[in-house]
Amino acid sequence: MTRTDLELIRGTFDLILLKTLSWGPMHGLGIFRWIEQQTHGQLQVEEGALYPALHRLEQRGFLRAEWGTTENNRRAKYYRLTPAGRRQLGAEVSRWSRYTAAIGMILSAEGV
Amino acid sequence: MRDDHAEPGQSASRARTAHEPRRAFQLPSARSRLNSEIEAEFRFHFDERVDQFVAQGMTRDLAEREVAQRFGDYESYLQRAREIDTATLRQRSRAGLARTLQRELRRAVRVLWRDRGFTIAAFVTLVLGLGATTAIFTVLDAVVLRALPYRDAHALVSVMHPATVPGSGERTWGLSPGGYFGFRTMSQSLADMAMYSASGFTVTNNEQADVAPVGRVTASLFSVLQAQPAFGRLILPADDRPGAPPVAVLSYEFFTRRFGGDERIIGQNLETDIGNFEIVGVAEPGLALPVPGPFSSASNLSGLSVDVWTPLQLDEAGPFYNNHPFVGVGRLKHDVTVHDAQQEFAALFPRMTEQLPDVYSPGFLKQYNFRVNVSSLRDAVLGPTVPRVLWMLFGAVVLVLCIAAANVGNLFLLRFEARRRESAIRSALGAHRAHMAVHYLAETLVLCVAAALAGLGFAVIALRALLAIAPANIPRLSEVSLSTRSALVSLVVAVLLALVLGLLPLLRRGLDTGTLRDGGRGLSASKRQRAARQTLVVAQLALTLVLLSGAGLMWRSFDTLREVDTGFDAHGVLTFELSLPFSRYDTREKAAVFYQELQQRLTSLPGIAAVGAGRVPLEDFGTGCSVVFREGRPYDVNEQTPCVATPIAVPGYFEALGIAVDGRAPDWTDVSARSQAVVVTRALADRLWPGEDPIGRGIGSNGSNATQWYRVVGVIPSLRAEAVDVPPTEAVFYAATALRANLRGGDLNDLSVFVRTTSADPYLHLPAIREVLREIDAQIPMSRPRPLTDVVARSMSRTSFILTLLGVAAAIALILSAVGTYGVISYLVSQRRTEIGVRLALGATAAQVVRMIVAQSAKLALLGIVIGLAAALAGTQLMTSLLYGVKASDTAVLLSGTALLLSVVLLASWVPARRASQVDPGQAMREH
Repeated sequence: MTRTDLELIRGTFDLILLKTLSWGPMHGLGIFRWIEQQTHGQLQVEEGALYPALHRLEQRGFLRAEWGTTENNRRAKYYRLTPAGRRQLGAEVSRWSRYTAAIGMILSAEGV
Repeated sequence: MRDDHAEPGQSASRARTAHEPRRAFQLPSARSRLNSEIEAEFRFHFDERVDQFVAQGMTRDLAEREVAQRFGDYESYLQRAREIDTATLRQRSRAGLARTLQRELRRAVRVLWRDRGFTIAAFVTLVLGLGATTAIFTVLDAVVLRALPYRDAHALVSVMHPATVPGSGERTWGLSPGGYFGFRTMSQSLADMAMYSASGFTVTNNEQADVAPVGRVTASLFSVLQAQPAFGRLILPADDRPGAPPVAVLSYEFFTRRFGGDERIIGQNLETDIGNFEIVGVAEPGLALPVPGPFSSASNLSGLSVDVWTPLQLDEAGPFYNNHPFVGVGRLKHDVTVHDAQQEFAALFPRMTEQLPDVYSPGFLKQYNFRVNVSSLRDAVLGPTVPRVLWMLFGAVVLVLCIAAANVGNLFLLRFEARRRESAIRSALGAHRAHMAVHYLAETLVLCVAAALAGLGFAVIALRALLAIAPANIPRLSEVSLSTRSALVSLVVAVLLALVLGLLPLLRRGLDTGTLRDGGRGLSASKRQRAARQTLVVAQLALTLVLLSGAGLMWRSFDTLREVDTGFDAHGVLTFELSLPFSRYDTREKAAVFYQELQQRLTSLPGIAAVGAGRVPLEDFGTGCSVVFREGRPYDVNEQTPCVATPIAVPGYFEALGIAVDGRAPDWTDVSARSQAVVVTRALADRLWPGEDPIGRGIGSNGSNATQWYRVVGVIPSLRAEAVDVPPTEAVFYAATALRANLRGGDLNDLSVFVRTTSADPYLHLPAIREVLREIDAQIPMSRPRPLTDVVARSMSRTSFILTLLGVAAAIALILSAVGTYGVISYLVSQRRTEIGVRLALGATAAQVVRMIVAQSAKLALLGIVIGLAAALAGTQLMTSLLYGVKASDTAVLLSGTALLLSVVLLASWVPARRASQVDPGQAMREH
């Protein structure tokens, strides 16, 4: 692998999707673009992988999907965060912070 | 329709409108719609991306390739999304269904709670019906329907010898050793055959004496029953040969109870009063002897379980005698029916008897109509009566359930009538019939299932009461407890009932415009419903009369039985069993000395009038017989040879039982002098020496040409010793030592002692009796102390058991009928309020109104009674064999049942009639 893209750490995709949608309803492509923009294209993920992940979050009741129209007047499926999804996001964020803090402590530890 | 309940992939254009009823189920097209929506979603992403790249200057071709590469495996993602959505859909529809159910049930509970009066009446009725049915079904299931506790129990048969014993009638005898070996060698239809008898000995391991029931069996029994050892081994053919070292197999229960489940006992000796046995193994838990009906009371077994199994060790070479103490069982070969086996045994029977001419003489075969019978072991264990009784009782409670259901159906109809206006409006407004059906079903379902659950509680209590009064001779009854199976059956019945009751109102078709037009007065279209209700009342009155008649007949039987003079006086008598160890009481003389000392010591106690020992009447008699001859007068060819009971009567026996002896009873002098004195019953004396004085006559069992005869020294009046409802017993009572010499000792080692006390409660003397026994010989175990009155009560327990159950069923039916009649008459009265008001206003007296209404219900009652009488006459015929001293068509019983029913019905209709006569005419007419 010669690219410098970051592979997704398992379990973080849900967090990313929930966080992205916390800015407002988006369709799948919109979500993708948003992520790409925020990370300057550093995250390496197949675009199609987005959809099973979204549908699973919908199944778990964290997202709600509705059909709507884009600015170009095309029909697209919009996802938005449910209250349960918002709660889940809070929990995942705090979990992630603790995780990175813990990893950080290990990496920054000095030999005894 | 709340917005946040939109289904996934629900297109905006198809969003449901607020007035559309909420669906519990997804439409069948949901799945295909789901597919196209996922594709649309993917397609959008794809197309937008391609457009984006094209806009950036790529050729469309290149752009598409680029997007496809970035997107990944399109089909696989499509498939994964589809799977997730399908699962989601399923989940949501399940949740939706649960929500609908929950809502409907909550609504039903609310509606039922609002109509508390109705609900309580229907609930109690159903609890009685369902609970009683569940209780009896549980007994029926455990006793009759379930297979015996053996592997492939359906292939097990019993092999027995029916015989018509002259003077005693039909008897079932067991196998003789000669017959067993003959059949076992010749039979092709049985995979194997075995036999056994039950006895007992005293186990003395660890210096502790315990009476142990023993199964003495052929080695083949274990292969016939397909039993397995828990430890060690079972009895093998090598152990079962004459002269083989004595071995014993312990029952699992005895092994854990007596030896603490210590496997090291295997290989040790089982020490008993008749010698040592090597313990070779322990049988699997629960292994018990199957005991066919006629033998169940003959054995000393408590139920069917034995503690120790020992080999019979019979000699195949004989010699053989005409004695039939062994229960024969066999296992059918694959594909052989009981009928086939019976045919084969009937064909083998002459060959078997020809091989044993000394045992089965042609005269004997003819005179006793001696034959062989192979029947299913289960039928043999149950006997013919028990299944019939239980089916009959089950029929009775099903009738009660029918009455209960009819009543509740009636209540529902009444209630439906009251709600007709509501439902008419709703259906006129476009409510679906299916919707209304769901409402009704939810209500009946809640009611019926709640009643079934309460009914289970009722059944548990009823079962406990039932077991307390049940006759001891119903096999397997001790195993009865409320099972999952009967609980399930009860719930299924409840749900079916709910369906029927809930769909009842749906029988009406179309829009109920009549009701709307009437302004809700509900006068039209109720004719058919009224007829339906009256039919239900007539039907339940008829069913009640059937049950009342059955209960009445059993009551008459029980009453007659109680009046029967058994010939002995059980009041104030305590009886218990003793088991003298063979090690120290190996001769009859030694045993006799013990009984004499026991008698002397006990009678010197205050409050004890007499002491004797022998067999227990109504329990130990009637299980076997010996042929007796009279001196100097051989029987004619046509005369039937009597075969009678030949019990031992230790001096004091007759006195203790309160039996007056005409002549004298043998005393201790007769015993020590080995005199030949015997006592016979009046019934036997009348047969052997009709019209003559039997005292001094010779009697014996060694044929007509015997040189030695016993002498009759006394005659006792007729004694009912076999059962209260069986004619007086013919018996010869031998004194303690004057017994036939060819019997092994032991007859005196296991006897019942009778102590006649002067107190009403003979139990009071038990401690003193135990003390005396301990002083004489502390090693003798005493078992089953009980008042003799218990024995008498138990012998009538079959009748009292059926009586109680039928009585309870009839009482419930009567109450339900009264309630049902009351309900219907009340309703009719409320329908006729205006009319009654008019009558009263025109000058009718209250009494006239009451009479008019009561007459109307009397019409219903009479119709019910006529039908009920016909049904009762047919139904009680089934009970004929259970009755004693009363005919199935007893007029007095039928008449009193009719009178009781009629008076209850009239009372039940008098109450609403009385209320009707007190209406205010003005108000009643203004109401419409």
